[in-house]
Amino acid sequence: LRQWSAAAPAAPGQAAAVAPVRERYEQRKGEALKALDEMVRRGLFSNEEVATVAAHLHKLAGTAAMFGEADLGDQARQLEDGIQRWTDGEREAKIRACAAAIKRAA
Amino acid sequence: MARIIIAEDDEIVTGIVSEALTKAGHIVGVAYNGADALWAIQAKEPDLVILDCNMPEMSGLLVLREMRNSSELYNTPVLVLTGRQGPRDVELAYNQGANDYMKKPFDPDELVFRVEELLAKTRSSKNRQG
Repeated sequence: LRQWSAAAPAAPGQAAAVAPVRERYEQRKGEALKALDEMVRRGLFSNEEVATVAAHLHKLAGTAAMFGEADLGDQARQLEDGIQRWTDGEREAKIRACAAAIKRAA
Repeated sequence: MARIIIAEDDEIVTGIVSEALTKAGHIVGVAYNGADALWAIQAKEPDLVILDCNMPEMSGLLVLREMRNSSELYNTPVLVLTGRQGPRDVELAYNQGANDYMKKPFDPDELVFRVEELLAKTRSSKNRQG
C-alpha cells in the first residue's frame, strides 16, 4: 500500500478514469481467448496446458459481466469449473465444445 | 467517509472497486498480495477491509485469520470478494471471521451498499459499547 486515494474531481475526469480499466479488460479477454484457441488448435490438453488456460478463464469469468459480457463470463466459468471435474476421457471433447461456445459469446 | 483497504491481485477489480468507493466518498488503499495487505492493515488500521481469497504470497483467508487473532484488528469489518463460488467457500470465509461475502462478478453499486451497511453496523456497535 503506497498511498490512500480519495475521490477524483467529478464530471469530465471520471470517464477518463474508467477507460484504462476497460482497455485492460479487453486486453485480458484477448489473452484468454488466444490461450484457449492455441490449446485447442494444438490439441494439447495436459494438466499444465489446462491449468494455464484455467487461470486466464478464472479472471475473465470474474470480470466479464461487469463489462456487459455476462454470457462470456458464464461460459468461461463453465469451462473453468469443468476442467476441474471432467475425467481424462471426456476432457478434450468437453473443452472443445466449451471453447466454441466461448468464441461465440465473445 | 471511511478508510478502506482493498486486498486484491486483479488490477481490473481494484480499479472498479476503487472507483465505486471513492465516488461514494471513501478513501481507498490497495494492496496487491496477501503479505502486503496484512502489513498495510496492521500499519494503517483501516475502517474496513475488502479481501480477495486467491492472492499471491498469502491467501485472503490467512490474512483474515491473522486479523481475527489480533486484538487491534479483531473487530475490523471484512468483506470477502472472491471468484470462489462453492457453498463450502462461503462457509469457510464466515468461519474465519468474514462479516460479508460477495461473489465475482459483482455489481459495484451493491458493493458500495454492503460496505455502507457494514460501516453502519460497526459504528452502531461501537456506540453501544462506548
